[in-house]
Amino acid sequence: MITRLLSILMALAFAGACAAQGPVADSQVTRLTFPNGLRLLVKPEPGRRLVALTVVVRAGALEEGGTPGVGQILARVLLTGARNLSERKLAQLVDEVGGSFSVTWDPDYMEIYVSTTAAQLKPALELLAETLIEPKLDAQRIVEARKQVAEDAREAARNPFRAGYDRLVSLLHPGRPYGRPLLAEPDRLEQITPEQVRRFLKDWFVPSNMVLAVVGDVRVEQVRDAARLWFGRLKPAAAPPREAPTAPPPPSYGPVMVEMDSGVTYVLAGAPASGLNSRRYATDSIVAAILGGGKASRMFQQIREEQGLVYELGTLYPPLLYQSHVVAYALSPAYLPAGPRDVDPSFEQVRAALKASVDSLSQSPITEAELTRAKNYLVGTFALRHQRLQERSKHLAWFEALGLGWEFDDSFPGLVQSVTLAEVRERAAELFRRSAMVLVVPRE
Amino acid sequence: MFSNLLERIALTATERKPSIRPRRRIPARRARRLGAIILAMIAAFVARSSAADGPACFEKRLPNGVHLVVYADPSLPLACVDVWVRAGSVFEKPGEEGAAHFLEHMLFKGTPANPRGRLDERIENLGATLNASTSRDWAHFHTTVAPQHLSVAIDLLSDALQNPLFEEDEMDRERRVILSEIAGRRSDPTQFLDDELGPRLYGSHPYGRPVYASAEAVSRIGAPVLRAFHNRNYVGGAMTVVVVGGVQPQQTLSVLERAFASMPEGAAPDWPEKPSSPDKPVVVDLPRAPDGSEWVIVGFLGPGMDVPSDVWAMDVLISVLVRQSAGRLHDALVTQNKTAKAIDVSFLTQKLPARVTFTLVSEPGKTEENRAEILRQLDAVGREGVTEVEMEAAKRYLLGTYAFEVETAGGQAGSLGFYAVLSSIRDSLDYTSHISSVTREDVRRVAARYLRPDRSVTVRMTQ
Repeated sequence: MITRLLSILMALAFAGACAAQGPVADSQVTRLTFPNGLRLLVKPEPGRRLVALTVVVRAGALEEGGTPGVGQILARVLLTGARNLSERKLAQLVDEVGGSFSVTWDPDYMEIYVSTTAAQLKPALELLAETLIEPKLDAQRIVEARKQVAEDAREAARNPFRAGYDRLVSLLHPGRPYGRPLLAEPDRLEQITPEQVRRFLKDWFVPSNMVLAVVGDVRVEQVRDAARLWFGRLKPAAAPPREAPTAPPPPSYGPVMVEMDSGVTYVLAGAPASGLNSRRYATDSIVAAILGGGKASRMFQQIREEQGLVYELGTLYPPLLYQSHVVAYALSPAYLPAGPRDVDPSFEQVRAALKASVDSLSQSPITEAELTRAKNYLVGTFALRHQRLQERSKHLAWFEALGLGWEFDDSFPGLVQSVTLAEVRERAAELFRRSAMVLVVPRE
Repeated sequence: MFSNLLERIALTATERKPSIRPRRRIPARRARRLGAIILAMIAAFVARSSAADGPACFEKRLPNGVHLVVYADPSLPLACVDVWVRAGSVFEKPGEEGAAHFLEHMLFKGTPANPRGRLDERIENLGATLNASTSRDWAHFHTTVAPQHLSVAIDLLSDALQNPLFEEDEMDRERRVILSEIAGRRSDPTQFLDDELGPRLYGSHPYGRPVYASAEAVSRIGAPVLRAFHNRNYVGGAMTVVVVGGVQPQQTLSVLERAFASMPEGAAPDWPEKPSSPDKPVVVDLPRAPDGSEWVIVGFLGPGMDVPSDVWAMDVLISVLVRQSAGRLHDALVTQNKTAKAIDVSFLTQKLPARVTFTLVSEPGKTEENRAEILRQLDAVGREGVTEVEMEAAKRYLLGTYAFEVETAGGQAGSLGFYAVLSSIRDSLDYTSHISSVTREDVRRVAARYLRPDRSVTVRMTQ
């Protein structure tokens, strides 16, 4: 593990500084709660002279209510900077900060991050705070952002995988926030008013609904003092109550065809799966990895290695909080203009092969070796997703903001290793029992 | 430029996933600046004998010619082993076209000791995946693991590279996978245009053909061709093995030596003749993309590592012209004129003159206007140069991008191996000073020399 520095002495010193709540510290991360409710996580990692700062605001699809797309529009507006930061100053600040600045919208949250050199910690915090507290929310800017998001949505709709995935997800989560397209439909976006965007910010961008995580070559007290300076201005407020979405009905859809102007065919099969907040999340992750995670997975071996049918295939299991889904997919070129036809598999072949792999979960019991391989693969790829400071700060803020606690980041590998063969076999047998399938095919 | 361009340009046999994590990443203004970080600290890398306080780099040449590099950095949580081989498509002989890339796929298809599936199973049991990619000059094979698994990962990779089986039925199955890969690539306008540009820019030089060659060529390749290519190119003198991570240097060198001592001796293949630029502008028109969008690529023959100072200057120049959401060309076409939806620049450093390309999606009917503006701007840079402000912004961006690129064990190993194949690991370690020393006159000079409108090649998808 990366060298980390956190001393108990340091933690004790902060206890006096933070009046509302003392720090909760372990050997890696210090957690402080400011009087206004904002949570700060600091993970010092001396030596690299870099730092990553991530703010996660729990304001995603669920919080959008009847205005899907409002969060995406706000995210776009936030990218343009703050009232006290001119475009030029923002450009300078980012350039001078020398890192990257990004705003990301997710069905469960909004993420704003800055990566930079450790020496630029203060300007980076200023950039984050100004962006969140004093964004430019004039009507013209919001309308322009709305237009850009709509254009992005149209562009996304032309992507065959994206179109197929969105269709599949709409079948798996009918009428629920998680079932909406990743980018809202342009027609619905057009109906969102600047006032609704401002309201969304006012309701949800409150300190008790935010977590700031800082990881890098910094000291805890240095971050605490600078964060208090910039984020202490946020007035305390409670976010509106939110309700977890009801569980979707079990899907059962034969192939739904989506015609696209494209040269490729995608076959996607999806089934409901546990959310991050479920005890079964680790089990379902293992089942998804056995099916299509890695080159030793069933899909890779059965479809690509044994049959040589396709190049691109696998499973996706997005870490959504309440209910998620496992998607098994395979891409088949619909045509090979310069190649011999007999090596061009029909999508019927691909569909049959993908279905056979999915069916094998219930028909061929998972072996101990498969379980071990899948566990190690999951734990290893989880570590690979933590190689960058930015990734580490994001994971801390994300899990903390969603109510799982930043400790989930440390405990997930253990959760995976504790799953038993019986549990995996049980889930594998039932996971795709009720599923949906989408075929994306070239338009005639 | 070494960077994530590798992933975009090189063909790869790794498993791929469409990026559909259900989230929307909004393109952001990015500019990464280097702190002093590690590179300056290891200037005397080969002389260092201890990695107690910070990173240190060690080299060793085995009797069979294999070049070993260990970059010990105690701050890294994971360790990467990355094998670079001077065995790209440029070393294919007539009749072998496509063999370099086909071979890369077959090297993961098993060995007598680790039959098909077993290799993947063993590596994934370490919590890792095997990855590989092939370009014109090189192929490389790598994995990242927890340091305690490094020794096993090295042994598995060594076995895969030295003892491939080349079974005919396996080849036939993999051939279908490769043809699928080619079809997928050709359905992507960016990659399709790059492939179409190559032969128009390089003529018959092997740099001009796609790394995969063609579907027909792949259909013809048999086991004898792959064996011949493997025997000739996968030899000690063509190979650099890099390990980066929180490792004990001497112990790691011993593990590497044990694993790679049996690699056949042999010298690296000679580089081909230097290509030459077209002597007049070329414009080619092709049908539009299936979705109706208008794409265009404008390409030039840039410098190669035979003239490294020009490579560093070109790295700065392209950062002046196009950065994430900034740069002279981006500002002109996307921000001000609004005639292009997006523009991208590409310059993957090669041993011999590499292509410099500008690829853009035009607003309807604006392709020719955009092309003319690109050529006008390049001509202006060649005559008038760039401003000091542009230079500083470009350098900051470039060095920052590099700093974050080498933040991980895999990124650092990639940089070391990349330059080891093309010149020396010294160019990886000294990259920041190379960039810092580029002057405005250097930038003007390379613009005037390489990005000449009268030697441009354009491929448009507008019909």
